[in-house]
Amino acid sequence: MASSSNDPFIIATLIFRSQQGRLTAGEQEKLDAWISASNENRQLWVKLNNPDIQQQHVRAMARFDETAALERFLSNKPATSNIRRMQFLHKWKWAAAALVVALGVSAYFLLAHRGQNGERFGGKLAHDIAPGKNGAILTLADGTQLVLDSLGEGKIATQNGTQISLNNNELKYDASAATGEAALNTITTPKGRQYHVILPDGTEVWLNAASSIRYPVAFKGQERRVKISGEVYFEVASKSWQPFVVETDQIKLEVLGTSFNVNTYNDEKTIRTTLLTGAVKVTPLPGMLPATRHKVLVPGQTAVLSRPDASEAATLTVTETPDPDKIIAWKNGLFNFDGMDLYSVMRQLERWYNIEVQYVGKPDNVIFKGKMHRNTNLSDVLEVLETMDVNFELKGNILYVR
Amino acid sequence: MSRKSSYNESQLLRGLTSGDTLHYSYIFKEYYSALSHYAETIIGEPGHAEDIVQDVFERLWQKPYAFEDLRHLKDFLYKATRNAALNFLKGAQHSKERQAKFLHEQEEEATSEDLDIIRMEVFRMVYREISGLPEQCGKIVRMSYIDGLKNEQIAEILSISLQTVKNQKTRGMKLLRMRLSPVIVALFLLYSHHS
Repeated sequence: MASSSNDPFIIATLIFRSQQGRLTAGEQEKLDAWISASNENRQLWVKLNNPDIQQQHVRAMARFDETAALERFLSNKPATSNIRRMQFLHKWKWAAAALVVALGVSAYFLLAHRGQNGERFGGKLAHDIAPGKNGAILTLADGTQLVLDSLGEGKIATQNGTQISLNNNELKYDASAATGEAALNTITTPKGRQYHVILPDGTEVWLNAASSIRYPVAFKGQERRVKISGEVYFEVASKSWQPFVVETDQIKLEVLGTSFNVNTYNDEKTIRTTLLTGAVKVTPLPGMLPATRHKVLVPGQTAVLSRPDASEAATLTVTETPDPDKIIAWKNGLFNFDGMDLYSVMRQLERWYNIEVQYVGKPDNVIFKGKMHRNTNLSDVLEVLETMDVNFELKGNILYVR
Repeated sequence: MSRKSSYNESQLLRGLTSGDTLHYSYIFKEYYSALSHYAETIIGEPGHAEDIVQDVFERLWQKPYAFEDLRHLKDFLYKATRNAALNFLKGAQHSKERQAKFLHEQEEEATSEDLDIIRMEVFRMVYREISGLPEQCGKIVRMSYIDGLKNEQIAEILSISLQTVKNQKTRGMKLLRMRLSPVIVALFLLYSHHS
């Protein structure tokens, strides 16, 4: 390209060094020559030395989170083992059952070829239940409800200038033409549905079954505030000047740009916030704890808030989570039953297959191990679980466990 | 030339062509934010800007070019980003106006490609100095300079004492004085003072 006296990278370095006051006489001469070479050059030189302009651009750059982007990028690389593992799972889907490794006792268990459907249940399973799928209900500010899995692609609504569009079953907001007050929208997943949505600020949200999120269609003001229920995984777009605040009925989470999972199902004993990247401040809402103490999580930690009951007050503790991927297995289309007890596993099945579980007598509380695809019929899951001395019977959508 | 002159340039370029994640990550971290901001200034929105830059890095990863030197590599990154952003504008029907506006601004300000690169490179170097400050004091300086947070807010968020915030900030200031222009440090002082 140009000679070295015009090379933009050399000029940029000279300008930066001059700002540091570190130019040699020779370098100063070169820089002066460049500045006086044209009006445009001189104008740029003035702008580059304007602290306000400088801060404005530095702030703009700081909004992009290169560390998170790099992690995302590398984790999508075909060369990494993650992907291979997923493909492996995929290949074996026809016998998904075979993937679950049995029992806490660590017995390694591999199902042989299955017979024809249902054989194995000795006729107990008169019918089967298909796995959950993508879908949700969108409630607009005026109360209009749209069923997201039955809508076509493309633009589906406009509210106060914010466009809502649906592509590949993912909802996206474009707030670039937003006017007036930001309307509040709610997305709700029933049992048997999950959903992925990109909020107006670029934050990505995955809703597990039986969950919800309420948010403004454009984020304005000091902070970005949403309210959730159920289980939600967040990848928050980094906007350092506008913290992201997540509220549940019990806790408040403050973040700057980070990914984390919140499990706040009402039928779970505790409310758990697991941090994967970044930093999150967890504060129980007033009334949950006598003295509102907060905790700041570092990646790989889970904040556990117990629910208060008659005998005990709520407590907020922090535990290490060596394998956070396990916590967000659902978001990646998997069940991960490692170390989970019978009742926790059943609660997951209830939400995903939209069934009701009833216990007959008092079944042993087995600890499970292994993972399998969520995109699997209920019978396949039960088939595997049955190898652990639990018995199932499905009548309608009630699953009897003994 | 730059502050990373200790980094072995040829080693870096060799590492890139051999698909080495370490060297690749270094380049990614060094340029991602600046390139995203560059694309943003062209297309007018941050979301797609990041997609564009991810694509550029994807190309770098898929088919590592044989770069003569670091300058050649930087040149590739800026040009590929610019071209992809301009292509995006052409492709996106809704942004005809934006495209016209960008081209118009270009004529008006006569911002040639070279001048754009100079502008982004200078800001990038400032940004890297601030984000390159050591752990705790760097975090505090960033929360103050970039986020405009008050000392009390920083102490609250990080769960540390107000005195620790002040101490770390003083340390960060000292380091910045060694690295940055007096104007920036003056501005930083202004912000700190207001808090």
